[in-house]
Amino acid sequence: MLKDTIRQLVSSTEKMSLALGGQPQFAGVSAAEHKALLNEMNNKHEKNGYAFIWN
Amino acid sequence: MSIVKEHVGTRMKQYASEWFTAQPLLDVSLSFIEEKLGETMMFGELTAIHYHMFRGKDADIEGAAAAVELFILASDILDDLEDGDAPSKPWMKAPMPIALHVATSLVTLSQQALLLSAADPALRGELAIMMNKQLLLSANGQMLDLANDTLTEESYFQMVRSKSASLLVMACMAGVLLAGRPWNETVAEYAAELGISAQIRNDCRDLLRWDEKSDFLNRKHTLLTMYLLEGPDEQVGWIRDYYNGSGSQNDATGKKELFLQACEQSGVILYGSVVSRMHYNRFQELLAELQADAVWKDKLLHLLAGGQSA
Repeated sequence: MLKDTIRQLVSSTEKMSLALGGQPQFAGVSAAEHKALLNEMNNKHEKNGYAFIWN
Repeated sequence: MSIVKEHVGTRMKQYASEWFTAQPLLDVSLSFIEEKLGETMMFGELTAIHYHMFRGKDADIEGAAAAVELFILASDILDDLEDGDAPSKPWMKAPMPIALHVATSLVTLSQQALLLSAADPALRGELAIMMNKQLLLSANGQMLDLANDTLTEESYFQMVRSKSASLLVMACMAGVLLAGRPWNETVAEYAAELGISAQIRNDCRDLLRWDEKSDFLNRKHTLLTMYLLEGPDEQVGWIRDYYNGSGSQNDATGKKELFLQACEQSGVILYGSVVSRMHYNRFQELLAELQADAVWKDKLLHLLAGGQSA
């Protein structure tokens, strides 16, 4: 599931590097979660692409 | 640009001047409106964009945008008063009875302004029913948030759908109805997705801040704190203890670095960002399916990307 995948990613430099290098292995993650995870990882150091609505 | 922020601000002040005949009520209201004009005002833009997206022609759309922003201002004031934070805001510096009275007066003023933006009595009825339905939903959600007992993901999403998403639905649907169209379920659905996405992004920000609005210091339960508290003892045991009532806020305030380290190690912000992004992606999918003016759909995306609508 998504939570487990994220805990694994942040606890392993190797897994994070593989994911950032375009070789993601996300078992048990839905297609929507997979897409969002890649969106956010690729945007990690950029403006997120959608604004805050509330102040 | 669909509307100009300054024009909306002018209309907000005009409505106050017209209906608040008691000078103290007007004076304080105008100072609160002025404060609002220095902030993001995206809700009125959403109303205007949806009006144009559905090819509206005859309504007073700037008046409607001002009405929506008047409600959001009232909602912000009430939220700050209830949470007891944001000390720099003028409504937090004003005596509580005054701030409370102005906020409730602005709620009524916003309803009046929205009704006046449509000439057709039948449309006014539709607008009133829609607005009150969404605001009552939001009131229920706000109460659940204040109770701070959203301890499961299901209850969290239920609370956010009510409290936050309903306001986005209200803003977007006001534009749809004013364009002479009926309630649009796709718009309602994507506005709700947008609201959920935005709330989670705010939760990410409020988890990391270290002031009176800090979710952690206030022991607030959100989707992110749920994730954080599920971590291993060696990482978040002390955070779990704090949430269970151990220690004072003063004790916790001195542990900023330890807390930020736990956030980093747990991946909680990445988790929140991904869940927020999922809802934003769903919003985009639904928007793509919507049969509406493509130019204004693009303007909506541009606005949400941090720009103005044109």
